[in-house]
Amino acid sequence: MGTPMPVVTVFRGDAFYFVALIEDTDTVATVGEKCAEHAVGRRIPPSDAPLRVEYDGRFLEPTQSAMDAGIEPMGTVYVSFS
Amino acid sequence: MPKLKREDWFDLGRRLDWTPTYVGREELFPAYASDSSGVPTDDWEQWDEPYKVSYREYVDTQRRKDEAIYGVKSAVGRSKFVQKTDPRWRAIIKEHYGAATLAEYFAGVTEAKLARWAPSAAWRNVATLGMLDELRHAQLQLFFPHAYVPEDEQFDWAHKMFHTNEWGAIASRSLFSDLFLNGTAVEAAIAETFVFETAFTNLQFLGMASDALKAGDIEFSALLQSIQTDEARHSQQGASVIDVLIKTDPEQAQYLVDKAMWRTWRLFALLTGLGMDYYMPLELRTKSFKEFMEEFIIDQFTKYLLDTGLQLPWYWDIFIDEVDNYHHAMHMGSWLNRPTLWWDPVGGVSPEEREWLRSKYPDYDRHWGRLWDMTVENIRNGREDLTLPSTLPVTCNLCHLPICVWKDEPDSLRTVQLDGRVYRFCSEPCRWIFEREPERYEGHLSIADRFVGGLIQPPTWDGVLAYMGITPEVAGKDALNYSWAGAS
Repeated sequence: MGTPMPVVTVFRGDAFYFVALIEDTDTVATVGEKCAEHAVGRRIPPSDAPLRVEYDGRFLEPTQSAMDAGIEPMGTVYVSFS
Repeated sequence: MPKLKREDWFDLGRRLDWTPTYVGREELFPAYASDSSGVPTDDWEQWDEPYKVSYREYVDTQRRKDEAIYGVKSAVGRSKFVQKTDPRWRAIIKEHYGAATLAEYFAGVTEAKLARWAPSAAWRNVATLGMLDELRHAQLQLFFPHAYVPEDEQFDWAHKMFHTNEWGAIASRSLFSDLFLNGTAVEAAIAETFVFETAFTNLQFLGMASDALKAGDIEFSALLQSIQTDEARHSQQGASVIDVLIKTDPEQAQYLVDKAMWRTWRLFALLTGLGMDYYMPLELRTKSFKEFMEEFIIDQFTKYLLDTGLQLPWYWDIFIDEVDNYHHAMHMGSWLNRPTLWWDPVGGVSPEEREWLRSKYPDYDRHWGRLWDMTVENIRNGREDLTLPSTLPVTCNLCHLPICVWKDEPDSLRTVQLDGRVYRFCSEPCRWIFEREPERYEGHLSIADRFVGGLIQPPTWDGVLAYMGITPEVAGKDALNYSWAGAS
């Protein structure tokens, strides 16, 4: 179990920024799901396309951990469908 | 004793002043309270108000206004109008009372500041009457909804709102503290009387007042119109201040207008934008919020602004884009977070209402309609939970309103790093204001900052509602119980 941390997130195409709770040991793929759940199925239609996560101007490797990817508390995570 | 004719004494009376001898003028009117712009004292002697009223005339006029408005209240009270009225109209008046009532009190405290610290005697007299006006407005807007509190606790928020940490209260207090209560008499007069009052209050107090008559709410219509007649008189202070200030420091005058206009615009989008485009029953609507904005702000106020010698704010193009969009974001955000409201909001997106919105805002479906589609589907499928809050939204560290986006490829989140802390902003103008005066804002905490910083306990949704002062009896629900979504 990792250390919980909050991040700021927005799903591309949604209208709002939210606080999402992740753990530093979560994979980037899991971070994407934890962020996307506040928009997908609520205002953004679900899709079979994989999620992609942007941070600090670059797309992150889905298998990396949040910590290794450099995601910091209250950093801004942009999520979208590929 | 024979009375003098008005023209024999009025001009002396309005300018009556004295040269201090026990203290210097700088001690009597220190720069931090009166004016730090460097305008010479003699220039303030030229301050002149177009519409002149003596105290005796004021008392007589106001007494008659109060007799009229309290007469309307007595008559309407007997018919129990509010209990029987459409819940959509009730949403409008509840939001109004919560947002406006103690704001009037802040305005009164600010006019009191002008009554003491304004560097012109004539101006101090006008401000004294303005102070009485605003205290009147606070009293009226406490007294009128008070009659409804025994049957509907949400009306209690006419008094309670500003005493809570509800997110709208945080945003409103931030605005009134920044623009009205802090700063010199000169700064406050420009923000309050020139921008807030001359430009924007017409939207709510004239635009909404005429809508009120159509809704059959004679009491609310008469109340707002009576209030606005006072506004027309005391709001004239601001242009007269700019006339003097612009000769010495036109840049400062421009900055004060630019800042006040941006912050005030956002608050009125949240108040009047929701009321006019979503809460007002469709069959009673006359104009869209954008059409009212075009009339009162983009047309009338800009002429008034340019007449003073100032220019349109630098962010004008951003503002014009926002007039098409920002209140739609505020409506959706506040409806989705309806348990945090002190009124029951209207969805306002039935098929007929969507058609009206498309006719007034050609890009509506592209930016907003598609987001509502999923919401409506969830309601029809019995998934109300997916239309309620799942987490905290992030609000702007300047204006404290939700950060929202509506472009296909939104700009990256605007941030400023200062002394180890990251500040987040909803827009370029908000960031610009912060960077101009960071010492003024750097200590403030957004709702998300408070949550992450452990100030909201327990750190759960119930903890958030308790922190905001929202009780189960008050927490907002959809005004029409989702009937507009075709829910069974």
